[in-house]
Amino acid sequence: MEKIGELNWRSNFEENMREWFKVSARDKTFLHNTAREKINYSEAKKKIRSQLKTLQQNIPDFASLVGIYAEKSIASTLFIYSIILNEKGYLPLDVQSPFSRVVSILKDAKPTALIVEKKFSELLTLALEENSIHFQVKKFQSGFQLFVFEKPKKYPADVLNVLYTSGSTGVPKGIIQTGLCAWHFMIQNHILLNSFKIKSYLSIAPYHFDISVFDLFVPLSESGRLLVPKQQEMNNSRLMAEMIAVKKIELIYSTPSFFNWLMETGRLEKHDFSKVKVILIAGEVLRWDIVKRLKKYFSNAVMFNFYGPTETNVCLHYRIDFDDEKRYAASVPIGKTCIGSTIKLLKTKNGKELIVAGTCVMYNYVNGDKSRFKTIEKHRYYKTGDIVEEAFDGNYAFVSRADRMIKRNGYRIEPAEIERGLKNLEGVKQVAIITTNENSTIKIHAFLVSDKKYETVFLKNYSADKIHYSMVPDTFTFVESMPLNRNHKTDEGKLLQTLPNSLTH
Amino acid sequence: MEREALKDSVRNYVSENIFGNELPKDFNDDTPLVSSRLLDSIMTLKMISHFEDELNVECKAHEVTADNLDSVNIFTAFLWKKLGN
Repeated sequence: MEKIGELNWRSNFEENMREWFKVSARDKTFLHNTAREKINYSEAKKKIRSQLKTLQQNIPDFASLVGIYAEKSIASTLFIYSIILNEKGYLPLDVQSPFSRVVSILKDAKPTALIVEKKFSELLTLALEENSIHFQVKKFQSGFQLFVFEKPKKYPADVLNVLYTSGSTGVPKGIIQTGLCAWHFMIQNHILLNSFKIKSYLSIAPYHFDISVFDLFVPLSESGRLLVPKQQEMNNSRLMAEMIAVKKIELIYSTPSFFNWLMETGRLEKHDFSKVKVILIAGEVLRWDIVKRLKKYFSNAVMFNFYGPTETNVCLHYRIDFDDEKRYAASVPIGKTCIGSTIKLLKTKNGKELIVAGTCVMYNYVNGDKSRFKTIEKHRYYKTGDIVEEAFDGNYAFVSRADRMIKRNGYRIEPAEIERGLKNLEGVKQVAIITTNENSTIKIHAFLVSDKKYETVFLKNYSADKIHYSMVPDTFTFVESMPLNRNHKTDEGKLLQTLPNSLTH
Repeated sequence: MEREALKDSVRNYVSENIFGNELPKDFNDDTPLVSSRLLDSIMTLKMISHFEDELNVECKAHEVTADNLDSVNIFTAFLWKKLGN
């Protein structure tokens, strides 16, 4: 750790991963699930070694990506470690995304190979062949196959992962994270959390979501155990609540939407959460009412608000102090800078935009887009698009967005991606996407001007086939024409007035 | 409560909370609600809580699955059983 800045970061991160496996007690549980399946550190090492062998035999390309198209499980978690130890970056793909989105990501990222869970391989093969993506199928471990592609893309030597988010041009964009970014995030977490002596973690975020970087590496570095729930369990707040209590989880890291959902529908009053020591919250604007309600159920927990777009992972943090509510009435502050981050405020017509430089900042976008960067005094700053204020105590507070991007359940959503999906429907001339936020629940409303009318069930199914499920609109309304305001822009207020109250609240 | 009245009650809940009181023409009592994502996880749990309170029944955590909730007909059958029928 003393040699930060001097070492080859890629090998440093791997070396540290090897060390973390080495120092952990062999018989100590590492990964477990609710089906009582578990794997200790020694078994994990063995499995990784065998996967490494297969990967090395089949994928010669150094500095490349290996995708994972599998449900979140103990097995798919181990694949990520194997890929990194094989000196490659991982590309987690969402099995719940429409095939068109997965194919578009594969075409952009051009991984060298893809680990595919067998139950998805037939349909995925069809989708790839329809799009003329050529590959060879190789044997992998039981229940999985390895698709090896031609002409993979070269990535920087220290690539850790590529995570795709919604793009403002209407297509998903890939963010290249390096081992260096993750390493600084690890150091920051170690400093913040070491005194809590956490041993029992719960992984809530899917692996294509940046919060999961914490789940993948912090428990491992602390010789802890990580509970890996199945996807269907993740959709059941009552099971999640039971899991946290019964499995004696000590740290939970998720979005405000997750915690709001858990409190609204999880029947938390039935359980004892006294073992939870730390709650980390990130991914969306955090309102005071959420943390105040959380404190009632998790009375022993210290809470932190983490801030940072996927491009920087966490670059600001704030330890929640309820006395600060008077000073920061609008929302919980996003805090002060983390290790590896330098913050500046850029004056714009909308207010002061937060820009970030330092080792926390991503390597680049896969598509090479440089428009979000600004160079100041030879340092490369990432423009977050978040308008903030700096308070006298050095904490930053979120004010608004400089663009149309919204967050739902922690996912970044560009309305342009939804509009693009719906505009492809026959007869549709114009689409406007408007969101409402009631009690921390974001609803997406689609308004369409179209020669042809469609029924709601059809439109829901159509959207789910074209865009990520987090973007599927809650309502669809056909209008004769888009109403305009005095500035000749779509009059969102007038459009929202056309909706019944039960759909916006 | 009669089974048909229970079904009307489930259908009304779906109509009001998913479609703003107007069921679309392509909706019927077998239309998938959960697997089609017409209902998201928040709406699903809210619907269960609503009927638990209304009917004074309790659903266990592991029962909150698409198998028991995926359409007006399926959810009605599940609640009907819960009522001891």
